[in-house]
Amino acid sequence: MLMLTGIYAADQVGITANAPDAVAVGDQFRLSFTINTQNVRDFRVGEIKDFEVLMGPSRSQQSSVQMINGKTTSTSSITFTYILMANKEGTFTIPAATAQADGKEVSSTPFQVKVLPKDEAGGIGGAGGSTSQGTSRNSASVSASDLFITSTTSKTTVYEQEAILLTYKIYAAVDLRGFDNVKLPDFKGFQSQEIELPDDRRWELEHYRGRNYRSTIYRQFVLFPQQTGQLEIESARFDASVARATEAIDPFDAFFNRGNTYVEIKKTLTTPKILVNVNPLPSGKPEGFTGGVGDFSISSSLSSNHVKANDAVTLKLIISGVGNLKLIKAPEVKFPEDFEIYDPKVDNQFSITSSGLSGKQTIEYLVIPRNAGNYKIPALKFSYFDTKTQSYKTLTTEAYELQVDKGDGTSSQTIANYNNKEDLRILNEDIRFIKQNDVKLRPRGGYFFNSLGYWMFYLIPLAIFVIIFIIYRRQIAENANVTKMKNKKANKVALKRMKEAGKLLAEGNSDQFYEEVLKALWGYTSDKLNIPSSMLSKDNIEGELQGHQVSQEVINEFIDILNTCEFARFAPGEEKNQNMDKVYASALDTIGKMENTIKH
Amino acid sequence: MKQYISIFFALIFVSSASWAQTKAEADSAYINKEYTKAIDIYEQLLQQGESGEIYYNLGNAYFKQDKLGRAILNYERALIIQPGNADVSANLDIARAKTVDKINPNPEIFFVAWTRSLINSLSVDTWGAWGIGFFICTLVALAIYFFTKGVRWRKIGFFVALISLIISIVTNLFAFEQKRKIDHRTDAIVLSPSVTVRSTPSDEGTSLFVIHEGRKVSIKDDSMKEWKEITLEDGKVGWIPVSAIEII
Repeated sequence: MLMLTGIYAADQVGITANAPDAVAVGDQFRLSFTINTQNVRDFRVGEIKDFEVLMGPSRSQQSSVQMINGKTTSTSSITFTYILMANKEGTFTIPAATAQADGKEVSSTPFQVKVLPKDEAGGIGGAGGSTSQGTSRNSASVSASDLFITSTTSKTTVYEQEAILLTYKIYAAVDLRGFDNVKLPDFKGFQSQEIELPDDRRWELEHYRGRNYRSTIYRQFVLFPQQTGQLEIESARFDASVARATEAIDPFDAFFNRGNTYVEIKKTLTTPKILVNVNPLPSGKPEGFTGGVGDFSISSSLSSNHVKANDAVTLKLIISGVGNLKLIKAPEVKFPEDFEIYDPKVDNQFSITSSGLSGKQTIEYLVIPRNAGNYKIPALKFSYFDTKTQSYKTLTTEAYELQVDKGDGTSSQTIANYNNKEDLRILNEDIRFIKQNDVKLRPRGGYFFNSLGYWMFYLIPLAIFVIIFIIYRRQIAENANVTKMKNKKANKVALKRMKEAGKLLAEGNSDQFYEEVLKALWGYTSDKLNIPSSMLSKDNIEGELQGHQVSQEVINEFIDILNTCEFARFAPGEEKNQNMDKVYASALDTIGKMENTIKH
Repeated sequence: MKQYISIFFALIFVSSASWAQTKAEADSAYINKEYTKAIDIYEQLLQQGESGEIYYNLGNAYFKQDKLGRAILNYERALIIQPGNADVSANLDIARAKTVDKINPNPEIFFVAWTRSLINSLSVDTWGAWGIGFFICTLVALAIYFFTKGVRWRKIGFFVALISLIISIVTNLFAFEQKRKIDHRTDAIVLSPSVTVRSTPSDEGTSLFVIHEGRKVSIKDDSMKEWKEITLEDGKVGWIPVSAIEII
C-alpha cells in the first residue's frame, strides 16, 4: 500500500504556491506552499523582503485515503503557510520555494502580487479572507460608488468594418449576489459577436478612482460597424441584487447569525452611452476588394493540374488572419469560358478575439472543364484594408495552368448535347440493334393496295356472289317472304281439297260443283279440327272454330260460303253459273287462311 | 422455250441470292463496327428497292457515326413502310432526343391524335388486306342472310354484313390515307448541322430562326427549285435552301 502511494505520488510531486493577486497596503494576507507528499525535507523559501512576515512558516499535514471498488488510493500533502502584510505600494515578487520531496528537488515558480494604495474610504472585502465590509454599514441603500458597471470600447474612432471591443466590467465594493433583468443594447449599425468568457469568473482586486474594488469582466463583444458616421451604443441596464449585512438587534438572532443579518437590496445600474465615430474606408478601393478589413494573408492550391474532360477540379483559397473574416465575400475567380462553374463552398474556422475574428476562411471553387485543351487559371487578387497602416493592400495568388485531356468516349458529347434539355433520362440508353433477317426488296411505290390485283380481290368474290345470287334467285326470293311461303303451303292444302270442285268448275257443272265445295269445306274442317263429319253442323261450327283461335272475320266468311253454296244448289240456272268462280276463289282463300291460323 | 424459262428463273434466283448476301454482309460490317462499309452496302441495296428493315439498319449505322440527321431520315422512312414498328420508333426517339432543337409540338385534340395513331399503327397494305378480309366477310354474311330460312340466322347475317361493310370501307379509307402519305411526302429532315430560316427565298432575307440537324419540317411550298417554304410543328413558317434538307 505504501508502495502504491509512492508510485502514485511520485508522478506528480511539486510545489504550488497560493496567494491573492492583489492586496491593499496594510492588508494581511496568507501565502501558502503546498507539497503533495509527506516525505519532505529541507523546505526553503527565498527571502520575502517586500512584505512583513507576521507569522510562519507554519506546517500542516493532510492525508486522505479513498477506497473505490476495492482499490485504495491515498493522498497526502504538507502545507507551509505564512501570514504576510503589505507595507508599500507596487508590484512585488514572491520568490520560489524549494524542497527535497521524495528524494527529488522540487521548486515553485515565483509569482507577483500587486499591492494597491490604501482605500481612501476604508477597507473592503479582500480576497485574502479578511471580512471587512463596505463603508456605509448602517444604510440600507447602495451608493453609486459602491457598485457600478463600466462600458468601454477599445477605440472610439474606427473605419468601417474595423473591429471594436466593447467590455462591460463590474466594480463592486459590496457583496454582489447576482444580476437579473439584464438589458443589453441591440447594437444598431453594428454586427456584434460575443466573446465567450470562461465560466469560472475571477474577481480581482482593483484600485479604481481612489478606492479598491473587486472587479470582473462581465461580458465582452466584438463589434463591426456596418455604417459610417457617428454611431451610438445605447446604455445597458442591469438589476443587481446586493446582500447587505445589518447589525442585529435581537440578541438571539445575533447569537445564531454571529451578529450579522443579511438583507437583499435591489439596485438598477445603467451604463453611459458611447459614441463611436465610424469613418468610411478611404477612396480608391483596388480591384478585387471584397470588403475585408483587418490583417490577412492568403494561400491557394489547385487539386490537380492535369485532368480529363468532365472531371472536377477544385481551387482552394485560404484567407487567414484577423479582421471581419465572416463578412468577406468570396473573391471571384476568372475561370476559362467553357468551364462549368459551381458556387464556391465556404468553410469558416475562426474564433472571436478582442481584435476581431481570427482564424481562416477556406473557399473551394469547384469547376468542371467540359472540353480538352490547355487552360490558364489567372492569378487571383485579394485586396483588403489594413487597419494598422490604414491603407489598402493587395495580395496575389499564383496563376495555374491546367491541362485537360479528352474525356472518356462520348461522355463529353452526350452531356453537351443534353445540356439544354430538361430530360436526362435516356443518357445511357443506346439504340436497338439492327435486324438481321433476310428481306425482300420491293420496287419503290410498288404497293399492293390500290393495284389491279387489290381490286381483283374485291371483284372476284363479288362476281362469284352475284353469280350464286342469280342462280338461286328464286329460292332467295322465296326465302325473302316468310308469309308468302306459308300462304303457299296453305293454298296447296286448299287446292288439294278443291281439286274435284276445280274440275267441275271447268266443266260448268254447277249442281255438282256446289255439292263438291260443301263436301270439301266440311271435310277440311272435320280433318283439321279432328271432329267426325256427322258431329259437325252449321250450329256448332262457329263455336268449334272460335275454340281454335280462328278470327271472327274468317268464320263469317266461312259460314257465308256455306250459305251461298246451299242456297245456290236450289237457285235458278243463270245465277248459279255466275257465282261459281267467286265461290271457288273465296273458298280457296278461306281454307288458306284457316290453314295458317289453326295449329296442331 | 423451256431453256429460256429456266435461265430466267436462274437469273431471278441469283439476283435474289445476291441481295440477301449483301444485306448479310452489311449486317456483319455493322456488327464489326465498320459503319461506313455497312452504310455503303445498305445505300446500294436501297437503289434497287425499298425495305423497312434496311432503312432501319441504315439509320442505326448513321446513328453510330453520329450523323443524326441521316439517322432520323432513315428511321422516318422505315416508319413509313412499317408504321407502328416499336424498334424503329424507339430508336427514332433516342435520335431525336440527341438533337439540339427542343421540339414542342402544338397539342392536338385527343380524338385526332387517336385516329392518327390508329391509322399509323398499320401499313397501307395491311390496311388493304383488312379491307379485303372484311369485304369477303360481308359477302359471306350476306349469303347467310339470303340462303338460310331461320329468322335468327338471317338477322345475324344481316348485321354482320352491315358492320363488316362499314369496317371494310373505313380500313380502305385508312389505307388511302397511308398511301397518300407515301405518294405525297411533304415532310423533310434537316441534314445541315444548322440552318438559318429566312423570311424570303434568298440569302438576303431576314433571318427568322435557326434550326439544327435532325429537325423535322414540313414543306409548305414546293414550287421553287432552290428554296422551299417550310413550317415547323409549332406553326413557324420560313424559307430554307433545298440543300439543307432531304425529303423523307
